[in-house]
Amino acid sequence: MSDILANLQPDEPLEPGCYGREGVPGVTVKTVDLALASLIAGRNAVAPLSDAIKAGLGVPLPQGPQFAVAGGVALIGTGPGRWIVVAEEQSAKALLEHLETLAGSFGSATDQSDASILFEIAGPSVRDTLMKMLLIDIDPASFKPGSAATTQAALIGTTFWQIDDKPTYRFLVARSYAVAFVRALAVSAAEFGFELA
Amino acid sequence: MSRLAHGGLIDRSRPLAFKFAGKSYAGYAGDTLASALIANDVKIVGRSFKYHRPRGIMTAGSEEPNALVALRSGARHEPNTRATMVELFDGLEAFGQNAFPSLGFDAMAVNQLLSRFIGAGFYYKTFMWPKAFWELLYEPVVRNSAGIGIAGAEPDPDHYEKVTAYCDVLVIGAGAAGLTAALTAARAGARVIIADEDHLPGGRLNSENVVIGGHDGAQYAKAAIAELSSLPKVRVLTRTTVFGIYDDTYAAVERVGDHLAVPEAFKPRQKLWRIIPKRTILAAGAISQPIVFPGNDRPGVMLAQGLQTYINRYAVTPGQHVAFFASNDAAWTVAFEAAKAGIDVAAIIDPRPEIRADLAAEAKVRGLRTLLGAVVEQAHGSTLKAISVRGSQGTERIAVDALAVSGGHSPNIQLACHHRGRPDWNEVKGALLVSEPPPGMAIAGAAAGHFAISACVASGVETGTKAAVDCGYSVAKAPVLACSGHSADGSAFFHVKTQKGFAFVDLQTDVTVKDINIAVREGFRSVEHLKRYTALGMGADQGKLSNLNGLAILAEKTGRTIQDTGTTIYRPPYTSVSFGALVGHHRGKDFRPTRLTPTHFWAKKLGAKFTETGAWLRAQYFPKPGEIDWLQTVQREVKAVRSSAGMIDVSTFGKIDLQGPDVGQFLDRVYVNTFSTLPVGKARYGVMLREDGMVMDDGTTARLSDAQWVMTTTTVNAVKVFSHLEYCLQVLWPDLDVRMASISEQWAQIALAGPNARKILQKIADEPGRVENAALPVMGATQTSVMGGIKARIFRLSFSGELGYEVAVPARYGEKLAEALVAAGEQFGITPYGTEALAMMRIEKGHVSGPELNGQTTVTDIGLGKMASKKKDYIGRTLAERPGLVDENRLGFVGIMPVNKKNVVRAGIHLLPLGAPATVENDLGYISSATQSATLGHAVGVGFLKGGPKRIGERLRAFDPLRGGDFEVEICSPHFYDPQGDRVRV
Repeated sequence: MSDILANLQPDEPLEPGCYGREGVPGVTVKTVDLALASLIAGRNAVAPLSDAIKAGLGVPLPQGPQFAVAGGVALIGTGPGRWIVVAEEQSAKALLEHLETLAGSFGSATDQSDASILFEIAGPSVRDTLMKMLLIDIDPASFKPGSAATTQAALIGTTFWQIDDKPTYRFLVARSYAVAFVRALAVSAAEFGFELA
Repeated sequence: MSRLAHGGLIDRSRPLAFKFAGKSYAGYAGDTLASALIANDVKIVGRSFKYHRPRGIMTAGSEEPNALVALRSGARHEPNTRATMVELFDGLEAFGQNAFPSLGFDAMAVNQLLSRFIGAGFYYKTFMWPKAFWELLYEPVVRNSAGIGIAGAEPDPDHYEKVTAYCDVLVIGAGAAGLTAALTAARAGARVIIADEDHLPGGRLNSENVVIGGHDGAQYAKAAIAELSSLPKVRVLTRTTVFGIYDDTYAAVERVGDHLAVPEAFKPRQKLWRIIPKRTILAAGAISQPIVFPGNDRPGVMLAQGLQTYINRYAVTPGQHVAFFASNDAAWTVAFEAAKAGIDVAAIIDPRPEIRADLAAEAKVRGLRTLLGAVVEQAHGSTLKAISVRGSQGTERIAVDALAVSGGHSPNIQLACHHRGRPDWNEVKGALLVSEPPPGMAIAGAAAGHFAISACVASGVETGTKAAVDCGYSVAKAPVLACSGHSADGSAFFHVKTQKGFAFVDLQTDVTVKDINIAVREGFRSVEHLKRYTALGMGADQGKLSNLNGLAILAEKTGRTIQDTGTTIYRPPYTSVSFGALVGHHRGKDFRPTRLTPTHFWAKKLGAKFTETGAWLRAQYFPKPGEIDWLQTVQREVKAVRSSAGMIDVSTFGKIDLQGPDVGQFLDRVYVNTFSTLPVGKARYGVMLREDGMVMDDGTTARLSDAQWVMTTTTVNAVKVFSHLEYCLQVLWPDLDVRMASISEQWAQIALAGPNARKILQKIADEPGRVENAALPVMGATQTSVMGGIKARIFRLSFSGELGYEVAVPARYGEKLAEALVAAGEQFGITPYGTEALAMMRIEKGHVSGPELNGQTTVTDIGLGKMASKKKDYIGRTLAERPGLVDENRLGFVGIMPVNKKNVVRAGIHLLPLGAPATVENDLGYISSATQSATLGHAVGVGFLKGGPKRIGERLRAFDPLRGGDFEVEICSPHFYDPQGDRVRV
């Protein structure tokens, strides 16, 4: 039986371990628990909000499906006037307060630290695997470190971005879909070998 | 054995054993099932669709109409596989189809004797009368005898995948034109995908004796593929058929494991590729066009191009004495190659009166008999034994066991027509060619009518260059490749005019010239009508070999040109595609991803039964040992809530964070009732309408601070409401400053209900005073913390009709909250309940839910008309005032109770006046939701009734024709339980 999910019901999470082809896994996945917040600009306030963020963090808000890193946070554009902010070290509460202070009246922040599971996906076959789940182009010609996308992966909504050239990707997936996402990822990566940390 | 002693691209060091129709045979690696069957002198491979005539192998490619076999057995049984496309593997097992008891003797072949009665239109004309016989007799019999092959009954054990790929240039076909096009674009640096349906790329280069740039064709193909594979931006897909164009996306199926007995571990059986190219080069080649003459379906009759492939690529010959019947020079070349391979060439029959001198000379040198201006009038034998040839000298019979035919070349232009393009008839080329392919596509090689190898290569370079340049690459000028190959001259020849026997136009659907004659006689002139009346081109081969001959004969019979007659519409797929490939991983329970609530695993540990609500799995009920059915469990759960306390995960509700100075105004515009006046710390129930005045959704919205609000929506409409609000903000009122974020996933939310709810809540609240009755009255909302510092939002809301709270905590603490509530409520017998008890309690209370918010009801219909503000405008207000929507006789919301309390009311039951016949005219309304109330001890329902609450107190007839049931009910208020709502205020 080649289907590693044959005996695993959709509400049974895949246990950590190695699956699929034996040997060095083609794809490795781990979850990273970081503070998350959404940041939304007020009416006609994208420019002043970006200026305020730049003044506080050193980089302006990315305009478009990209991300910028500064001051221990990553700012990911998810739509016009909308960003997801990921803090490498701050707590959820500290991140929220930090953003609220920076944004002032130009935007609003909302704690999303529990809304999504952050997956870090890497490995030599990661692109070939993600091609089975994504409908967008992740070839280095069009998607590179600094690129981000809000799209769907195997019918699951996600925001993801590429953090290095290896390549390593970070995927934000709604908490309720996390088991389904790992399921889709595992079966797509099985032919290359899959390791769930 | 018909294996030639030498040659071929097969590996004679690797013999393979296989079975066909129960008999064991041997072939070699590199064989197809078809070539291996030919090598073993198997002539009859299948039986035909309608007349059950014996059929052999007609081609060497995907256009094969005859040699359809069933492959493998058990769960991997696969009907209607083309033997010409099946790569031989050790242990392969194949079966003939449509034959009983055997391929050699088929009882249903008696249909041939009935042929004069069962021509085109037979079924339409015959089974008209008597009408009642259609379902009883005719349809079962016709269905039983229709179709070819039997589908497997077991679930497919293999898995399938879908892949999306982008590229600069997609090249379809890896023959001479495709390879040169791909090399040209790839060397310029373009991202190239080249797909070929064969496992061995090269197309006709592997079958014909041509030279490109000093290499023979097969060597050139091998080197080209090696170079392409070495380039990092090139993807070579073999065993891959591009089968359709859908807008800008090309769909292809890669047969990853079809050539193996069982797919490799963890590899899919097939992959569906969705390819989005900037430019496409269609280099799908051309196929030999068959000729229509009596007996043209006899096993042993084969297309000349196929024969060439069998001789040169597979080193097999379908016959020892082969004649050629062709109207083009290429077939003469095949005849010479056959003679060179030691096969007896009995004659070359060419309808053209003259032939090029060099061909005539070579025939002479080889001692081959040639008959010019002649045609094959009939083929004889159940497998081919002889042919009758009519020439200038009269008719003669020539003994042969194989006949190679070619009426010209048909370019594979199907994909170029998938955007509804129609090809034009090119008299010079004798072919249908496409002048306006879909945007971004160029056609190269034989598919564009370039039948000579030099023209093929030139068009490949030209289209490859243009595609690369269009994508922004510069192409270095490369030296022209010197090519040599056979002559490509000829003229199209379709049909031998004679009255003798079966002359097949469509071999797969058994359409004969006679059928076309019938259709024309009966007035069918359009080629589309001809197709549907006769089934011409409606087989799994999509008429690749039959459509042109069919329309040429139709043109002739109706006195029109081929161009004026036109073609039918070309539609995907180019070749058959399995459902598995289209579905990919999304099969069974993975049809769509499953969403799990924050307390899912906690509920599972408690033995909950789950139900699908949209993508969510929600706890439906929590059975205890000894309970005999769900109803008993649910009634226990309800009684527990009503008497003490219960809890349910309501995290699936949509939750939206609204911030900014204009939220109040925004809510006033989207809800029928007013929200801008809502004080901080309070929640309000609201109803939203669609633009057309119908109810869209309901829920509560709470004001957490001056400029922060939190809205809840129903589970099912969470996404719809969010996008509706986005639309309102972005399109209707961009002037409003509202910042909206979905927090559905951020918060786990548990509803705690029952007389003891507050006592339990106070045990886990960090500040118990905050949830006192005075501090948090009905519809109050507060931000606090629970379980020792976990931030929480507590709302005093009740759907059950009891004292109730909804407690929200960050989602990771959802399970912890559930456990804490169970521990805190232990002394009160706190009872987890599921969606069934939730529904029972809301019906007892007369609250509306999904069945009532069904898109056909107004706010007045659901009994909440008084909520709608008259002082402000809101979405849906204007259209909700349409006369039909304010008609007093509209169906209004009421409660329904059986008069005899033993009767069970069910959703879907219709209401009629007492004693009135059950007709549509008498219909008064229906029950939308019903339950076996645990609290009342009998069934109750809510529903919609003409006249609505005005009918309270009336008795009506409840009629349930589907499930049985015809009894009296009393109309009452929908609020069956605690109508004043005293219990929530305690």
